[in-house]
Amino acid sequence: MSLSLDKNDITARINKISSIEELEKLRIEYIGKKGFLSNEMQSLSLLSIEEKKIKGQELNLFKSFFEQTINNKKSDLEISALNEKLENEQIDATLPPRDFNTGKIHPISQTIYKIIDIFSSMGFSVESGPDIETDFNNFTALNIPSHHPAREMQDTFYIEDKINNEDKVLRTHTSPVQVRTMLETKPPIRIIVPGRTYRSDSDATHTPMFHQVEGLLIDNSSSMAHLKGCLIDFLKEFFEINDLQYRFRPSYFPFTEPSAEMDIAFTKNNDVWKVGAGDQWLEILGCGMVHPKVLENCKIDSKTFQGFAFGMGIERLSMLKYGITDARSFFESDFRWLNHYGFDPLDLTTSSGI
Amino acid sequence: MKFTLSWLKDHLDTTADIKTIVNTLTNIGLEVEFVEDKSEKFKYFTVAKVVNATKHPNADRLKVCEVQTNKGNFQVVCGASNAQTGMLGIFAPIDTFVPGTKMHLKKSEIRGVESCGMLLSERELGISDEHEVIIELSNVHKIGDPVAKIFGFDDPVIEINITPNRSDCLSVRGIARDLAAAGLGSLIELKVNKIKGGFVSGVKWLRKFNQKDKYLCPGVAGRFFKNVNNTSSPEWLKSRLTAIGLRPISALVDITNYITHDLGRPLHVYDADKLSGNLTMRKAVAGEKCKTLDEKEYLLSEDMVVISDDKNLHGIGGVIGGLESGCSLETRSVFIEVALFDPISVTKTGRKLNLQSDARYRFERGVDPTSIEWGVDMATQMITQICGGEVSTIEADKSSIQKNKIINFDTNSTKTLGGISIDTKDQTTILNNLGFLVKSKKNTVIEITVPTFRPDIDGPADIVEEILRIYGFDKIIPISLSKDINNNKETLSANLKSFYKSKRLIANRGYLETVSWSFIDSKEANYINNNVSIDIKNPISTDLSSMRPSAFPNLLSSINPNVARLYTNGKLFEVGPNFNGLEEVDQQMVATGIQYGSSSSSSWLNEARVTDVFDVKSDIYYVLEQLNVPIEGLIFKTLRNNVFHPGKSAQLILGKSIIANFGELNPLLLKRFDIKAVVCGFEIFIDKLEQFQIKKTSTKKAYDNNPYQVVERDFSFLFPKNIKAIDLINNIKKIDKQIIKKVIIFDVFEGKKLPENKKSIALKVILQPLEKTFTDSEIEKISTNIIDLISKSFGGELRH
Repeated sequence: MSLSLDKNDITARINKISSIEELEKLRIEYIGKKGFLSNEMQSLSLLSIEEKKIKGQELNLFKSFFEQTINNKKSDLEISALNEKLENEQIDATLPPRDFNTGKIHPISQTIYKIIDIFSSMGFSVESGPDIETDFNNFTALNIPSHHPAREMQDTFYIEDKINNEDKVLRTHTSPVQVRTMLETKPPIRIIVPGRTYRSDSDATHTPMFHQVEGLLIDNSSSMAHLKGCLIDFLKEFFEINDLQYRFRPSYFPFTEPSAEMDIAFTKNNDVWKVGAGDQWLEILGCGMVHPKVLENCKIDSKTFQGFAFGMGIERLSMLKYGITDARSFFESDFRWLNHYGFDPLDLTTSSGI
Repeated sequence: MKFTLSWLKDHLDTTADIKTIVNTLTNIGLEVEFVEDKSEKFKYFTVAKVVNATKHPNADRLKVCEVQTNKGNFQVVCGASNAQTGMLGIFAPIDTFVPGTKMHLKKSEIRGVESCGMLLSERELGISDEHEVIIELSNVHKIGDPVAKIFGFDDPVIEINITPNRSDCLSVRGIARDLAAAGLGSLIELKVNKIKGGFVSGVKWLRKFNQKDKYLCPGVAGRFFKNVNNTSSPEWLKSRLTAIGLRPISALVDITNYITHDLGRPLHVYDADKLSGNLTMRKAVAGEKCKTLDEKEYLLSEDMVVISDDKNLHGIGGVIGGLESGCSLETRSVFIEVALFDPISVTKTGRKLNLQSDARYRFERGVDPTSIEWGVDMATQMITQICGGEVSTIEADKSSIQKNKIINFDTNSTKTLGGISIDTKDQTTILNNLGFLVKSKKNTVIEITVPTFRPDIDGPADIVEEILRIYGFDKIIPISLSKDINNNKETLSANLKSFYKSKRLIANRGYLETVSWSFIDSKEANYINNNVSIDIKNPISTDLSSMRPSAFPNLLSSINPNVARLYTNGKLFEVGPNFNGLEEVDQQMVATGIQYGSSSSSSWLNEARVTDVFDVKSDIYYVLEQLNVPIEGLIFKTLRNNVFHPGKSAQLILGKSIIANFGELNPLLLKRFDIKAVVCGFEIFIDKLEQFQIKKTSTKKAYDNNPYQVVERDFSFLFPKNIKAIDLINNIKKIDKQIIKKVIIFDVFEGKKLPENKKSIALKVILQPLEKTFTDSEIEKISTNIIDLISKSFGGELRH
């Protein structure tokens, strides 16, 4: 095929090419060192200056046209070659992914996070204290003398203390932290104390170790009206039920006077508990106005200051909120259970959820 | 505390129904545990007449009875020997539930004869074990009479959970008083006939105590009864006792039990013919023994109060009576004891002897001291009524009975403490109805006289509770708390921040959080803590007998059960206390984690790799860094304990604090738990991280946008084997901390190709120029410094 400077002709030729190799061959034919254009350029020397100028310009225009056309084509061919290659690189995306981490937060922790979040919004801060306590902090300071029948309300674990000659106790409630706080700080006080507690009791519904959260508020004016407001607000938010049905019953604790227990309504269908409404009552917490003797035992003037305290079982709250039926299952480290009832570590319990 | 509705109505004149009574009890602080209304259970069973009984055609021992009921006649096949024409029995129709045998009655065919119901025995009715014969009723009953009425089942039984402060409500009368105060009718006046004694008792009550011990028994009274007839109790008395779960014994014993429950006044009756001389209250002599009504013998100690005659002991004061002088159906002469005992002393005695009784229960909570007087009269009235006989004058030895407590009470307290304003008149009415006397004083103050049966009432707070519980806790209008904006105390202290945060961080590394007992088997505690276990005196079982010095035993013991559930690999952690002593400082908060099996499960992508020390190291570095611990400053120390592998573990120290331990767990420890897999673990000592959680400022250091080209240089050295990587890294960085940004170890190997006792380590050093791009000679100079340092300080030879 003869070579020409006809643009239409050259465009047609390039369009027909389907491989980069052919394209390269054509390029060399035209603009290679010994190619068509090179020859044409050499033959310019035979022409007059005027002709040389015209012809030369024509050749240069042709060259840039040729280069552009062939580069465009080359780029097209490269893309289609790549596309063809990619088309043949199919994987099975339905295959399982690499392992990813699935850690879980225990429901007791998640419950405590939620409790802290709610009480924090009411101005309470969190306190903690040791599990092995003195008899004074666990009982005596709380107006439970050693031979009071109320001691038998709480089956206590004892540990011999050879140095101090008086048995230590495993705290039966987290109230000793209230005692410690009152002895160390001046009112106003607003604290909650979540933590491990122990009673020598073990059956289907009792475990020798369990968790409680207790609260204490001391100032110079808070009354039972505030106690009720605080606890009702807490439970409504905790269970996310606005019209929660509840009642306060008079009760007895040596460390509060007046004392009350709070019940919430529930229904039970096929072993599934539904709290908030219903015809049965479930005891959910104990509370009361701090007994003046307890304030005095903790070096707080009971004529100036007063306040309230409350305590509730974290496992029970957790069971009711998350539908867990067996109290013992919390402590069995069964991976199936932990995976089922556990929470994603980023499942935050803040009211905003972030 | 149990009682029946009709019993309550002896003391309370009320028209309220059972539901109102039950709700009111709970609302005033007498929490109802359960109500048993048997009449519901028996409502289909009625009196019926056997109009014709003939022998069963196909069975010798069976009879075919035609039974007339108020619903018509039925044919019943019956096996009882006493089934006969004309008798009255109890008929259970088909489709009813027979409580004694827990059987649903169906129409059936017995040996070819149809049977449409049943004539019941006492066992089938659930009232005794009698099953030989069917119940046979006297003619006073009529066909169709409901069975519940005949056996007293129409009287609901109520059980109340009495809190330890309310000793006054350990009596039916006390409960009636509270209900009356709550507006449910009126308290019926207690009628006591004072019967005059006709002779002087041959037995006297004496108290022999030192002056300082007199409080142990403030008083005792009694009287002598002769020619009594101790029969079985009348039906009404028996059925009341049976209803509350007490076994009727004989009239004298039943009367003491009745008065204990009716009026909260424990009594004791002695068979006076078995006493020698007078009865004395005194302290026991150490080593004395007493045989008691429960047919056991107790060894007594000096702090206990006993009742003794000239020869023997006849009881343990406030707890239980003696066996020898107990009353039987043969008893003809009786001497009674109406005593007061010190509550604490009774509690101690009962606990020491591990002996519970109705008397102890009441004495340790407090018995009305005036009952020493009216108790004798009540007992006299019932004994003479039921057993007849003649009574002596009253014998007593008592100190002056304690006076009533007086409390000055500001009626505003219901508002200031209770959160509700209540009219003084209403407050007074409530208190009066509860047995308190009220006198007006100045302004809003009233003077309150506390009744002797309320030892729990001590001060104004108690009075507020009394008024409020009757007035109604539900009437207090709740007030929401608002956050005190002036109090900017952080919710979590620095210490608790690391505790709560660490859980989320570790879980974020793929670990499951668990919560396990603070206890472990003392064998494991001793193994881990070199035989200084902290033992619980009264553990619930041997495997929960010591406070844990480490959480590893609990975590390890969960591995095999989970492996059995085909969790062939796993990561588990707990953040909780470890105990190294009894004091507060000995309790450490520790995040403990383990991982076992493969670090990633084998899949189509890769082969499983067994978990190793650097997996857990990566986890703790992540956690520590997130908790602001300056990890470049951590010092490594060799660990020597029973938990970790001595060669594949390390301790991380910062300043004086041990921050963490990590490594492979010691195979000898794993063997104790029969674990076959490799287990790696860590402990992070959360308390030590407190200093890094203190919030200083949220503002970050200014960003250094250095524009000059970063350079990297690789080196490879041959080292003696004992060289530690961290020393290399730290020392190279020290050459120029500003320029040397990072030292990365990208290859470590030992092996045949290398000389013995040598290892090869390849390093990449990242250099950051500060003011202008590095020149070749500058880079060369740093490289030379690095090579010099390594060859001089670490004996490293550059490999080419």
